[in-house]
Amino acid sequence: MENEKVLQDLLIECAGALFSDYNRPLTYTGTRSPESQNFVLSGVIGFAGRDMRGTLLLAMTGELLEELSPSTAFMRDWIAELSNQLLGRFKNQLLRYGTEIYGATPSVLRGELLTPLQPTCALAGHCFDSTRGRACVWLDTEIREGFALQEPSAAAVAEVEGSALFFD
Amino acid sequence: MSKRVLVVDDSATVRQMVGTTLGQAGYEIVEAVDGADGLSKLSDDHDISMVICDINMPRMSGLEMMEQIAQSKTIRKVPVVMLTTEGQPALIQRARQAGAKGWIVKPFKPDLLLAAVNKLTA
Repeated sequence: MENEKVLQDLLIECAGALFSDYNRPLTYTGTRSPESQNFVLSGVIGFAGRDMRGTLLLAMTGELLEELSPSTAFMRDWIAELSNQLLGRFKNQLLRYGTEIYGATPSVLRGELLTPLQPTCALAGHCFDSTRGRACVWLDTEIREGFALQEPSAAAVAEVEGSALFFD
Repeated sequence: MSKRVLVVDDSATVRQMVGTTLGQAGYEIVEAVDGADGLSKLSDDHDISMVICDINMPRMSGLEMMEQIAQSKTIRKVPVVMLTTEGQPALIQRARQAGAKGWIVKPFKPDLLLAAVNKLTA
């Protein structure tokens, strides 16, 4: 199993599910040239674990971010929280592959043209589009030498997003 | 008199979303930005009926806060529900052992959250 491909595919799956959960299903449109992306805010969150460490970044164009946000008063806070929730999904999914990561507190970057790397590279951003704008996610990972993700367990290992448990 | 619910989360947006859900149902919201702030407000305000608490926060995490609540004679009976992106069984077990009454994985469903609050503040 190719670690990097699995991780990137997981990221795409998690991002799509996150947008859907906020009733804004976006269409995955692959990678795009950064020149065409006018992002206004990006949420950045680092993570580390025994087997891998890295950074996850979620960037959005202004109109889409406003549409997704419950309040325009906290746009910076909201992109940070969305990146936090995206990493949460990602780490919960990773448990199925036999590895655990721990996230840091998210940070926010302002800017219009964000260029982590060109789309020809494996670290290219994955874009999601709607008529209201674009969201893009990047995952930059360093994987421990010799580590290989396990075949995923069929059952969920972690509680799924939106679920609730109550104790006696 | 409306019941007071302490919402502890470092995200202002999440505090607002929870506040809107519970406020529409008649609850009064007290906000705290991290575990230390939450612990302080819970200790000072004896009218708080329940706590909704994130896990990953600066200064003091939600689990640390939960464990401190459990050790306190004055506030340990206030019910706490964790509201977090985390879903690992080990963390859920730790919260449960410390006395948490529930665990909700973000993004929350308003009806589920409200049902939990209604039950635990009844």
